[in-house]
Amino acid sequence: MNENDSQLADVIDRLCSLLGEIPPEERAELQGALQQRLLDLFRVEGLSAELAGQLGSPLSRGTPLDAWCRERVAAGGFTEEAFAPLRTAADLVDHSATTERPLLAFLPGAWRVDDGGRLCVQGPRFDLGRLNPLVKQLTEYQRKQTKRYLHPNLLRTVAGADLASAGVYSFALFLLDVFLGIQAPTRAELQDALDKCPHRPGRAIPPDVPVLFRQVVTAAHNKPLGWTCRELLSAVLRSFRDSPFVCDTVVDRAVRHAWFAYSVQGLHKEGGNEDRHYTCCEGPASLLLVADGVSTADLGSGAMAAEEIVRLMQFGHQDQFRAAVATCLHDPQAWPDAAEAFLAGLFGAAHQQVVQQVNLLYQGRKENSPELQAPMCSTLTAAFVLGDQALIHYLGDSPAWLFSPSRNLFCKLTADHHAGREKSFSFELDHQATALTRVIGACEFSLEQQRFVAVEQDADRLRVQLRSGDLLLLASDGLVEAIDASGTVEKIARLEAELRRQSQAERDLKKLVRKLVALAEDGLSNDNITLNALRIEPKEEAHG
Amino acid sequence: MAEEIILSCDLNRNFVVRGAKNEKIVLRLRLYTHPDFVKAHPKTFCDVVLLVDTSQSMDEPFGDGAKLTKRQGVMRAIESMLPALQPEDTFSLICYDSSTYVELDHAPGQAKDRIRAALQKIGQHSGATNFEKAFATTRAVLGNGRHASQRVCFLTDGNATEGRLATAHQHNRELATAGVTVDCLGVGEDFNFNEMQRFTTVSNGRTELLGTPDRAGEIFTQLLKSAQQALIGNAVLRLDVPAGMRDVEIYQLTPEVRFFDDVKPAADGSVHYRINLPAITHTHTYTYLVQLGVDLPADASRANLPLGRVKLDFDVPVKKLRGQVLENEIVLNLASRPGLEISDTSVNSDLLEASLEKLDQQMNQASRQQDWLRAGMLLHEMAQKAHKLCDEDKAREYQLALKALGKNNCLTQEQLNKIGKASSVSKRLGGGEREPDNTSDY
Repeated sequence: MNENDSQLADVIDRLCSLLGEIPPEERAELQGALQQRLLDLFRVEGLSAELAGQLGSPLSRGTPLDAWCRERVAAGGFTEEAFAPLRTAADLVDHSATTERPLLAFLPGAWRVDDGGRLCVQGPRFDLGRLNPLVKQLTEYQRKQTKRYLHPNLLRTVAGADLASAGVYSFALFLLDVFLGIQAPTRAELQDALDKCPHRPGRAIPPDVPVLFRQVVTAAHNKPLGWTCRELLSAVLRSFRDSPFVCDTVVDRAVRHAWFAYSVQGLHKEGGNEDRHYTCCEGPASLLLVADGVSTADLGSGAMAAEEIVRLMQFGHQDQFRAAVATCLHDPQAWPDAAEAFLAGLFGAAHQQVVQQVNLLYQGRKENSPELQAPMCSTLTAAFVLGDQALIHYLGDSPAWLFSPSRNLFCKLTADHHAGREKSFSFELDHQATALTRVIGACEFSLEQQRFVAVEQDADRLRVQLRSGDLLLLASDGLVEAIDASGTVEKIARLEAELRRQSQAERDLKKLVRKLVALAEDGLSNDNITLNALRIEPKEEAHG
Repeated sequence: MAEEIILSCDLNRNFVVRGAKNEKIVLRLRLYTHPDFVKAHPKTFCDVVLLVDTSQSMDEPFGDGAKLTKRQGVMRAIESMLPALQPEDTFSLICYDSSTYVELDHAPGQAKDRIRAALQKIGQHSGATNFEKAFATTRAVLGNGRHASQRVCFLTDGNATEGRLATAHQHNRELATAGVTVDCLGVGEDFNFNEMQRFTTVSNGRTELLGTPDRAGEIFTQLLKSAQQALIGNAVLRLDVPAGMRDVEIYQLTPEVRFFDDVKPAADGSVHYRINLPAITHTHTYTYLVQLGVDLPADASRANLPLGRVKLDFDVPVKKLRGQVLENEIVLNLASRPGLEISDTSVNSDLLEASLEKLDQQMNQASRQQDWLRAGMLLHEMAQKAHKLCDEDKAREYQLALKALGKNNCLTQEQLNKIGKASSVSKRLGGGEREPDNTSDY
């Protein structure tokens, strides 16, 4: 008899004694009946036999479901079986959506996992999150107890709401907490936290997971969401399993790369093309680079800054790249450290080079106040690809995208270095939200030295596992921004649709890249558009 | 607190440090029928008056390419709501054009055949449009009302062409004071949403554009049901803000978003504002947001600062209770040092959402003045706010409206780029194909 059973037995004994003198032969029968009655009181009503069979005793102590999930997330291994109790919880919420009393608020306190790994749910606490079909609104007590776990619009009215979606929304809040550690009282803050979570140190969040949750968080409460809890959970687990940030210990050097880069000036963009790109190949390794010069420069220009970076690579760092590749080939343990060192060196040298050029330009224009002169600068995103793994360093907002047909994945790997992302949340609109915070060439004027001094820039780094057929896309921000659509989400959706369509129809990478660039060029075309693409070729089609 | 209704007050900030100047404080008021009271009285009965425009323009098509005329569409929509009428409800039909015609006066809800026969009369009138007469007749008809919940569905396809509009508004205010809710339903492209909202604001009714006859039927039925769900009647919400508060703005967030642009301080700087709520529907929460600029006293002996008083007068017809009062004093607690402040960001989120209505009004004003650049900038700001609030449908709607300004040549591409903070325009190079400026191959 475990502790819960003994507590239950104590209660039953007490109830029996309250009923007065009972002959011993009747006592056992009464005890059994009372026990059953008590268990029934704590059970969730109206479940199918299959669902009820997956549940443990409602009186079991076990581990709270949220704590249990956090342990599993920390341990990794995101299989459906490993998260079976959570899957049962998802099924229960989905089932409730088909009843008269749908679950609107997934209250974590109602759920536990017993020692046998079975989900236990306490009926009365489960019911607290359900809608009373008679009143069709939340009771005062429910409002107070559930508001943290509820779609905020349901506090205004339940009328007109899609109640099935409300349950999924609340379940998504629970998943957000246990998988990403995100909790927030408003949808705006949730969205902000999702935007920022790729920046959080220490945890490699699969890039498509924030996108997935954003779909749920931003969905209107009065429309069908198109997801069930079970589907949402499966999608999250799949994303963690297939995360491109989880890399094999050994690099497959037998794969070959195909690459092509293309850049155009936007039709409605003044001042020439300030984007530059560079690609080179050394055996099983490739180096891709995109630099997008910032146009608002008084000292020099964005194009000059980007050009300096590419020139530095072309004439100063090709040998270092070859040496880094040779090191990795000679000693498999050297990957990715040798590549890290190369990219760090390249970024550092590029940064110094641009600031040096700024000072040369300043020498000729000393009559102007240096505080009023914006020095030239540029973004830089570079990928060192060895076999089927890529190491990406970046400063600024030139994105790296991954399209992986085998994982059915299209996602942005990088997180823009924009002011809005590095500030704490505010309900005020921030018109400087898209200002760049980290760039090649960031410098300050030193009154002592009477010259511009480089401000150290910390590039973000990513290690990405590639698979056969994957496309790694390094681009300037114009590739998405110049697409003609109502918002960023729609622009990305158009890019993805075009990429999926063209990648099936078009085997020629050159044509594929040109068509993707044309999507933006034929659209708003209000920025320069650059795309530097690398494809992991299937082995039989590999180019030598 | 009364057991029939709940009035909750939340501040976006509390325990704000003493001596701080011009701090923005937001108060959220939520008002809703107590669920236990609703459980005991799931339905009430109502007097419904349909005030239907029968002017000549109602013979135009319901919408682009529609087979039905507006008149036929409206008749069909009204007919579709009849099953929702309870036997105890009453139904009145007033047709109006240059004149008014009382076709039904408080017919019982069970007399469906009589109502259907009366609906046919909508097809028999024609003339100009006189709102003044329409509202005067409605007042007279509702004088014979029996039930506590009284609802007027005012249906029109355009603007008044006869009579005095100011007098129509006066009648409308009298109706609101008598506890009648006026909803305004529009058909066709000439429907002036903002003008019609002036009629509904005083009694907190709904303003809707009926896109299709089916949608019209749905809205009629919803309005009838909400009238049947009004347990609290004749309510007046009063907000009193003492002198010394700056830039007082009042918004309604639910059930319909409104910005009350007529909030004016009295001579001493205090603000007194009343909102009529003729019928409080039990399926909705009524949410109000009050934004204030406050200078906090530095005096260490004061623990708090009164921000104002909220008073609700209301009747509970099903209990035959009149003149009930609910009152709340709103107080901001002061802190001796920074870092003790408590915030409720859900209040800020609600304010942001409601403030879209103010921008919408400003944008409409800019459009009327053909100040397209300002209209575009406001639309851009609205889209950004809607995006921040995760309301992607609205964000898209504003973006499309902004794009439409470009397509209709109200704004140049350069202006659009500037509004969106994109780069400036250049002419298409040579007008033909261009070479990419740098390519590399594998």
